[in-house]
Amino acid sequence: MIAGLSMPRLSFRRFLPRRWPTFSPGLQYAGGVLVSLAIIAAFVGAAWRVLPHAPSDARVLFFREPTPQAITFAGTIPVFVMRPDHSVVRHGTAAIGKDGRIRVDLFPSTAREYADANEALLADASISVLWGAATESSQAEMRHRINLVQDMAAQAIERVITSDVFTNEYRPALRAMLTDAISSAWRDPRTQAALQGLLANAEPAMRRALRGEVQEILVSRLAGAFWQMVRANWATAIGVPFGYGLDYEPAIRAMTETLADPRLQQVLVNFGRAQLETREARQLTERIVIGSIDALLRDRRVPAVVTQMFWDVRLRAMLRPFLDSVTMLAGALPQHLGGLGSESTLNPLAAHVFKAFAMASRTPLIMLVTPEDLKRLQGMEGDAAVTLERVAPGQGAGS
Amino acid sequence: MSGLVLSVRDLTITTPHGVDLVRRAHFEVGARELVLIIGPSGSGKTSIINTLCGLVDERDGEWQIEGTLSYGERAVDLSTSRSDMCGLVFQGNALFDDLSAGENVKIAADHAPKSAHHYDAGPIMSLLADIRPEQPIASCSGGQKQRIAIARTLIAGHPILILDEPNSGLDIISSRRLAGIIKDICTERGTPVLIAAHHVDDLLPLADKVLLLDTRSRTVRPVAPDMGAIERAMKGLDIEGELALSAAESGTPAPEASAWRRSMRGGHPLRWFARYFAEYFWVLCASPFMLAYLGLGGAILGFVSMWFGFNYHSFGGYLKSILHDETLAGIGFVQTTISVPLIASILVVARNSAVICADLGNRTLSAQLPAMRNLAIPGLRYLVVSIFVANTLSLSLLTVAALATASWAALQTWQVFFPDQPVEFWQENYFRRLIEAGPALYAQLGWVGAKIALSSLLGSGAAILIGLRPKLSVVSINNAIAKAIVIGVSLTLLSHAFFAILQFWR
Repeated sequence: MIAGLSMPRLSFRRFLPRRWPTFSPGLQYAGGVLVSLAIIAAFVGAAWRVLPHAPSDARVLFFREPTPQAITFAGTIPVFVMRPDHSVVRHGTAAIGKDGRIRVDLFPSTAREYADANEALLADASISVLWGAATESSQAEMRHRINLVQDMAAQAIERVITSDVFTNEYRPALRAMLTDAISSAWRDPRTQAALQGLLANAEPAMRRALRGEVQEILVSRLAGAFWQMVRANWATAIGVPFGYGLDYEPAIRAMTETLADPRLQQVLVNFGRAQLETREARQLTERIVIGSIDALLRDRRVPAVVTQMFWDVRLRAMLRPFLDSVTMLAGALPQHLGGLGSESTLNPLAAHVFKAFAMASRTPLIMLVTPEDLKRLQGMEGDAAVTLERVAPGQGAGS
Repeated sequence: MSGLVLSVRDLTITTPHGVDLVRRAHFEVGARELVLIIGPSGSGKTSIINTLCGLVDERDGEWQIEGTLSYGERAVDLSTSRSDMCGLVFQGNALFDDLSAGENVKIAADHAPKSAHHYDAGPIMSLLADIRPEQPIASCSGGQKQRIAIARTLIAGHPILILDEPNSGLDIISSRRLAGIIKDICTERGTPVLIAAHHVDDLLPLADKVLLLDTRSRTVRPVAPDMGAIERAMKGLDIEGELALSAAESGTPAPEASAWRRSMRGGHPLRWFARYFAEYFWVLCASPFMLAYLGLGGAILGFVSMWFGFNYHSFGGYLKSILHDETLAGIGFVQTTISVPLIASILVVARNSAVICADLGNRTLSAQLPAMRNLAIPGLRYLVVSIFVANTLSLSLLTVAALATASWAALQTWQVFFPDQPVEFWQENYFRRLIEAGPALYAQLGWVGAKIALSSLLGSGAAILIGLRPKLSVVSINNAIAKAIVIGVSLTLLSHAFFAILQFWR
């Protein structure tokens, strides 16, 4: 035992890192080069993983349209596949060839997984495609909300049109605009051309009568019927993208009532009822309706009056139930058709449709589905999508 | 005045590689004794000194040390404890060159035990008589530095003084004067002094005893303190050196002679440019640490862009679903043309500015550039051109590498968000803006190239200019490195901002 002063060996130096084993400079350099080469190989591997590769012929399908060139598009068409749970993922790209054949290049990573989805639908990017790809529960929920909006819209329009505020403050202005619109439509050369077609066989006195009095009668009758058309179609128009049809009945009724006007009847009594049922007469009717709506759309007074109506608290109170139901519908659209919600997930189909809307793109899409899903979608979509026919690689569109 | 004796008993030192430097060695240094310890180069003198001073570096591995060190009533078992009784004057002084001469002494005094304050300051003052306290270490002569080092060690209050090669690099007058001062300290303070030395001519007249580290028997034994006896003893030990010298004298080719002849044969000078270029290319670009550094930087950037781009946005839900395609295309475009080139430039310029500045600073401090001039070597041209080319190549190649890892990390992060989606869907959108650009893609690549080239030229230019400025000490090199990093990175940021404005100017 040694007595006396001594320092314990524990010190900070113990915590210093040990020196690495030393090798000869040549060995160190060779080791460094090897490690560098391994890292460079990792870089190359990373680049190989992320960069797109040339498509392989082993994963190519060919289709054709049943009616050639129903959809013409020169660019790359995105291809989607519907999975058993109705969710949709991207599956490849397609291009329409000069011979009308559609070449579909499947993604290597999904080609095997969805090998039984070999029926193809070609469609425009529209809400109806999203509607078709939505689950049945989402579709049921959306139908419920649309019905609610339609009911609320009909009630709201009824309340507004029959209110004192509207009758006294807005109706005169709107009537004036309508009168101008119909007059403009009547003076339109295309309407006049349709009228000329109708009058080709009429007597000269009748021609003068038609030109003078009919315009005045049309204006007064059609303006009165306008609100009936709005009341019905305002609500119905909301359902159009989901497969609902427009209600043309009010327009037809308005024109029928116009033609039944005693003054017009008097004018037309010698004209011959048979002539009013000809193709020329229908063309004249269409031109007046289309021309009126077109004139209204271009009338600068319309936005001002509509804005004033929108901000009018008296009218707004009448519209509130309708606006609430529209808000609820708008809130449900992204969730049920776009995959949005508290658990947001990517719906590439919704992303493509939204992009097409936002950028006014006309890029169509192809959806590959199983035969069972094809039947279901055909039943729902009607003419919103074209079912493509599978062809052999060497087979042309016309063969 | 002390009359105590330093006694070392049964000292055995075995290196981490298992080599016995000494076995059961005994020696003593009496009060007022000046003892020289001599031995061939690499025989283990410094290891013995480090053991006595408690300075064995355990990072080298496990040293096996046995024996005792005693001084008066104090005794240390060297196998279990470190000795703190011996003050060491290091070979090469080891002065703190960021402190002045006075501060070097003062810092030791401030950390000395209280008992050391009672020592007579007279001998220390005699060491520092011709030195101003505020004098920078860089401006001191070799002799002055050595005396400051001795004074610093004495101030620290160790009862025993050990010096490692104290006369190395000193002229004969300075060396003799230093030996006299050491002897005076030894006698006046009663301090035992042990000196390890190769050149003993100036020390021998003042030495009381000479110890020889015998590399054959691995012991320490006394030899007579005269040059003849020492030379005979040393010749018996230095077998390798003796053989080589004898061979050279007799005209027999030495083992390495042919290699030396090859080295002395003339060749094309441009190979030295290639040599320097390879050296810089390796350290600035191709070394594993540099590659891993840039790869990691790119990967982190790719992860951050994707993770925060999709997750922490007010409309995150929309970005993940109906706005996904455009979000991904935007991230891909920005990452490829802006973010990765910028981050890669900052990382490369910061790191390489430090390397370039340190390299040139050390060459300047150690007078390598004047030596090259003296040898008619266009050193500056070799170095500067190599640095410019290697650094620009480095930035270009490493930006590509960072792009690869950034894209890869972005893909992996995207797959965490959307595990069901195919990788080809990511590829289609991530690179869409670049693919859609068509011929404009070349313009975009041109802008990226311009940013890289300007960043590299300005960054390396600044580092070269700062590195080549005169250096007085290691501290001045450190300061230069910091300056080169700040200036290089600032110029890089400005270069990228300038070209980014031009790139997207409409």
